[in-house]
Amino acid sequence: MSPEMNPPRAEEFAHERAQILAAEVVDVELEPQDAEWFDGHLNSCPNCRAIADEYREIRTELRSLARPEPPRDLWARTAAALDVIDAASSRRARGRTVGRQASHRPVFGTALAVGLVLVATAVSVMSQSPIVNPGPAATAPGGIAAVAASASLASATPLAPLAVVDGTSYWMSAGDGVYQIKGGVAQCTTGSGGCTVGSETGQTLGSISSDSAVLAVIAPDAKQAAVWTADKIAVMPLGAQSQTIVLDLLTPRPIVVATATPTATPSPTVAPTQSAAATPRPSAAASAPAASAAPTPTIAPAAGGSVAILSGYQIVGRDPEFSADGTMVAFAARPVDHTTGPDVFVWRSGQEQARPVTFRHAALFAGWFGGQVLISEISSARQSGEAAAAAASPSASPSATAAGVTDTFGAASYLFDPATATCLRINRPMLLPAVDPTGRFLVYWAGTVQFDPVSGMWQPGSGELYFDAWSDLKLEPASLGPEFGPTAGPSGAATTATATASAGDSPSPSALGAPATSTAQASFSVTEAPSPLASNQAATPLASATQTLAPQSLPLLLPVASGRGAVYEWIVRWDRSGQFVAIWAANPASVKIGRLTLFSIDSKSGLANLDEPRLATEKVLSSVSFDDSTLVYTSAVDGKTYMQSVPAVPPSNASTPVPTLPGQLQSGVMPAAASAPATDRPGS
Amino acid sequence: MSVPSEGSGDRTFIERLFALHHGEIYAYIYRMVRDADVAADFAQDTFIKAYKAQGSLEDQAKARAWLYQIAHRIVLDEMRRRRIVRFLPWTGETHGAAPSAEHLAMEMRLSGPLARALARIPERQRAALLLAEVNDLTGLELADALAISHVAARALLTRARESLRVALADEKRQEKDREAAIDSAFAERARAADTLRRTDDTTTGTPQ
Repeated sequence: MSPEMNPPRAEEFAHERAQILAAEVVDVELEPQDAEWFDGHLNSCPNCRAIADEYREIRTELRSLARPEPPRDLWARTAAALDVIDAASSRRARGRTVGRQASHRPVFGTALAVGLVLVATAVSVMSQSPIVNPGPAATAPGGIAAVAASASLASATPLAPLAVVDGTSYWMSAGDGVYQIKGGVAQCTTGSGGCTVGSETGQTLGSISSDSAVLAVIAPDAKQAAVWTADKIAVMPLGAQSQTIVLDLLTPRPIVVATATPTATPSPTVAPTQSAAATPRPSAAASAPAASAAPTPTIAPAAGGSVAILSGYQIVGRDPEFSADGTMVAFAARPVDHTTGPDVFVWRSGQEQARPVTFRHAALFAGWFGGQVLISEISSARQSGEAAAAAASPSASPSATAAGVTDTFGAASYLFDPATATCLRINRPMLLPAVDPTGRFLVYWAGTVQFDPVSGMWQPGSGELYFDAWSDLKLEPASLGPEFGPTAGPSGAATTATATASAGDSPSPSALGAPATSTAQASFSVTEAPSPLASNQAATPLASATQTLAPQSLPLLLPVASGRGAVYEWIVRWDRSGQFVAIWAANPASVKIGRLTLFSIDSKSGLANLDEPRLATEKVLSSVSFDDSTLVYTSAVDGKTYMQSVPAVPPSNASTPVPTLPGQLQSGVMPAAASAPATDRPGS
Repeated sequence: MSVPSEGSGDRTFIERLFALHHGEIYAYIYRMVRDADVAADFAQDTFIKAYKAQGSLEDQAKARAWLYQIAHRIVLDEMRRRRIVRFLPWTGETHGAAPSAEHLAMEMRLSGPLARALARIPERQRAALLLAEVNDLTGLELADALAISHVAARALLTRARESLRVALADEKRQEKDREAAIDSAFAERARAADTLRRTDDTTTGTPQ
């Protein structure tokens, strides 16, 4: 103690010193002089002694905390990722020029490679999008199938099939920079023995060489595949005689005859020797006259029938998807330099390139509905937090959004017909609707959308999935072009969006802000008669589209997540009959693993049986699909792919066990989803 | 810890590290984020980063602290990032509307005033306390894991103890208040029921 210190200050200092020493003495031995002073002080200071006692008690409590156990599949998951890193490293090493340093591989690419094999783990790292891209992976399954790793990725990796079509599994194996799409019929045994098919038994149907990780989707007829990397997408035929395509060298053919928007008549193709400089952007291609194409050499497709349909763009959001007849591919993409936000592109067989069908750089591909494309577009509005939450998500509580003025993005969805270039706007605010193939019902997300300056993309914020009747929706003529956008929003909207968007390095603020729509404020009340597909009946084969039950108690909130407002990554899959809908919702803070719930549609009431899901299981990878009447999903716990015939028995029916995941749902235990709120009508 | 032999391959090294430390690394991350799925993701990321950065480990005797340092950075970076990107509750408490029985059991054991108090103190202090007291890192290991000096680590730990003491006292006080309020409500209801019974007895003439 300093001799100059006045007595009150000295006493305060003594207590502070004692408190510090009391904290230190808990786990270290004090210096002798400190210990002597400390003991002396405690004898005269009951408060300091009490604090010292508290420190010791807290330490005892801390050390008695239970130790959480790691998940059993932690090593399997980690090893899978390490395998990919090894594979990528060896590939880079081989491609390295002698005497040169290997270039630094961007984290972007590495992350993508990891995502590739971690499957469905496949977050859309490549697209940096909030929407899950179920990634392709090696292996193929059968009913309750064991997974076989590909040759280069030999580990107990949870891998998911690309698709199962008519009982044939398709998967991708990777090694030495070559990605092979393989197919094989599961070898099934009777009873519960299940089916297995390993990579060694599959037939190679397509082969892609690329220095970048390759993702793929299979056409419904499994005769072609769309494959893509971080900056290119191509379509290739599948077959036993297919040749290897060198994806990095494949460039889109130039468009000679420009068309304003996709038309019913495929544009004539040109010889690959007439090429635009580099790889023309589709936005330019759609509007530029033929004369603008510079006569530079173009590399022809490396394998017969393979064609690059877009280059210089990265896929955003949902995976590309073939139309039901396999003649078209649709997807959302944005320039790799992030100069604009994403637009939706459609490619029709025979066309040189995919062509944009949206032009405001804020669109996401939601899915196909017959021959038409469902598109969601982000809209912006600056408003009070409560108003934003109420408008964007009919069931969201005001607390879901921060109080006060905030940047809130909503979503409007459209039905676009590539054959006629007509567009209809769905009158309810929704993101990524998934309509059942018979045109009676749909599932969509509604909530608040947030802009993520890190990825330069929008993230679903607080929101829910809803089940609704298609006939309850009203479709209004609209335009996806920049000049005829939806009604402009509040005057401040554009400015707000600009400021927010420009904080990141991406989507074009002006594009986003331009015709800021007021769809986020659209009302959920439906007052007019249903007009489902009224203007598109001729174009769609969905004859039953108008035979809708149109129950009046819709929309229903789907209890698929662990908490209210917690659906931010999801996959919706309808079976062919429209009687079953499988919904995968990511676990909180995870984009790889989630909960799978299978709902049936009651034929009498026309409502989803929310109280009795036919299947509900945890820790499932996002690669969920239907093969006719079989639900295909892959467990993140054991890495096995399960094929569940539907109608599946409810989990509560213990007499007929559902193939639940080990350690997850116990037989006879009703999953949590079943006890979640049955209905919650938005807007009510 | 035992260190992989000099001649072991890279993969062997990380496999050994995983075998030795994945449990404690996962436990540390879990206690920081209080979400099993996130903890598993971060634990996996920790070993992937360790695998890719093993060349930066100069002294293999410090492998354990080095591993904790990676995990610590991942946790703090991700927590900050997620707070910016997604305005979801981070504590995990609101995520558990439909938790598994396993998760519930875990929560029961890990929750309580101490866990709540831990969640309230600053992240770096929480990390220091968990690493030192729960994960048994030595003073030097703690400094390495937090990438700060030994003196700074001790100071951080001292501040953490005080923060936790204050937070815990507050949690216990709140819990006591809640219990008192519940007791009071029960007593009030009992008095009301008794009054009602007496009124009924009086009107029906039932002898007391």
